[in-house]
Amino acid sequence: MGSIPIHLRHFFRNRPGRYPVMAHKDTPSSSGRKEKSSMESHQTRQGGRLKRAAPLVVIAAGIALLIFAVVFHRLELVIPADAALEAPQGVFLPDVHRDLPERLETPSPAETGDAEPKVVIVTENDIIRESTRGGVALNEDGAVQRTWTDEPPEACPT
Amino acid sequence: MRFRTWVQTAFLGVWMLPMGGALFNICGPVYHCYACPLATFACPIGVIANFSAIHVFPFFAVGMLLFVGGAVGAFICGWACPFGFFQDLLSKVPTPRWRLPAWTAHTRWAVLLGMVIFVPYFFGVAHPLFICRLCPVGGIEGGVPAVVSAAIAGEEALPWPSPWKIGIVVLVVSAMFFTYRPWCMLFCPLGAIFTAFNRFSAFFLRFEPKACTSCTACHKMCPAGLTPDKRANDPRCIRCLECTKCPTSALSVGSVFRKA
Repeated sequence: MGSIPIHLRHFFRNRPGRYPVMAHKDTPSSSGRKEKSSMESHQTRQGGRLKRAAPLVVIAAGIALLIFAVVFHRLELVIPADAALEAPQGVFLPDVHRDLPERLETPSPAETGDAEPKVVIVTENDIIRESTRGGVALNEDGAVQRTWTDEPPEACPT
Repeated sequence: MRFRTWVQTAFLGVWMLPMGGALFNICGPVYHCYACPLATFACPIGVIANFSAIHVFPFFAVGMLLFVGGAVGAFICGWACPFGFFQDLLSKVPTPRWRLPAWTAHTRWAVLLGMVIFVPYFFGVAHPLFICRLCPVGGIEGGVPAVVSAAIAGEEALPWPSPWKIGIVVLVVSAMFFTYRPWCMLFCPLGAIFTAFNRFSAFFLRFEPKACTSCTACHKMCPAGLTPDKRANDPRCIRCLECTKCPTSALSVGSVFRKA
C-alpha cells in the first residue's frame, strides 16, 4: 500500500480549517483591480453555524430513517400457495440448503393442499432481500406479493 | 499505483464478498448490481426502483443515502464505487478524450426521476424503461458473469440480456474510451444524489481564494474538466481530489468538524 500523498496529508493532521468555500466571484477592489472574494468566507462569519449544522442534520435524518426502517417498519407480504417457504440465498450461487433434511420435511403449501396464500408480516429488510430477486410485486388487491419460488424468476430484469 | 487506486481496490473487497446474498437485505451505498455473483449488498437504486413499483417508501435506502451523502457526499463516487473504478481503469487507455458540456449532467436527474421512480411507480417492473432492464452496470456485473458461467457449465440456452441492454452496455463501455466516466457524468442516478450533497456534506472541498494565483492548474488536473477554483463543490464533482495537488494549496479537503 502506498503512503498517503503529500496533497492529502494535511487532511489527516488535526489542523484547524475554515468552513467550505464553494464558489467565488470576481469583485473589484478599491484599487480597481479584480480580486477574488469568497462567498464562503462571508458565510463563515454570518451563516457559518447554520451551514455547519446542515450536514449533521442530514446525517441525523439518515440515521433516523435507518432506525425506523430496521426497528419499526413492517409490511404485509403475501406468499402464494405454490411458492416455497424459503427462497434460495443467491441468484447464481447454488442453494446449499436445498437438500437439507429440514427443508425436505417442510412441505410447501401446495403439497399440503393449503391453497390459500399466506400473509406474513416482514421487515423492510426482508422486502429488500425479496426485491433483489425480483420477487415482489403488487397483486390485484394492491398487496405486496412474493413471486419468487424455488427457481430464479425467468423475467429477471437484470 | 496511485493512492486512490489502492483505496478503490480495497473497497472492492467490501462490495464483492462472496456471501451468497446473505447481506442482500441491506443496501450498500454504491452502484453495484446485486445480480453480480460476488455482490455483498443490495443496490440502492435497484431497491428504490423496486420499492417504487410496489408503492412503498424505501426508508432504509433513503436513510442510507442521506447518511452517506451527508457524511461524505460524492467522495463515495470517486473513492469507493466499483463501477466508477471500472471506468477509471478504462480511462487510463491512451485515447483522445472529449469533455462533456455542463448541461449534460442534468440527464442523471431525468434517469433518477423517470426510470427509477416514475416508470416503476406507474407501470411496474415489466416496463421496458424500468432501470434494471437497461442498466449497463447490471449488464456488466450481472449479465456477463451469468453468460460466462452458463457457457462454462455447458448450458445450451445462455441467459443473454435483452438486445437493448447489450447495446447500451456496448455504447457505455465504448464511451469510456473517449470521455471520462460517461456513466457517472451522464446517467448515474446514484451519482446525481451524492453529488447533490457536495454542498452539504460534512467533508467537502475547501478553496482558499487568497492562496489562488489563477494559474488554472486545477483546470488541467481535473479529469472531469471542471473548474474547481470557480466552483469547488460543483454538482458534477466526484471528489477524486486530483485538484488538491494545487501547487499553492488553494484547494484542500475540509470538514465541518474543524472550527474556522
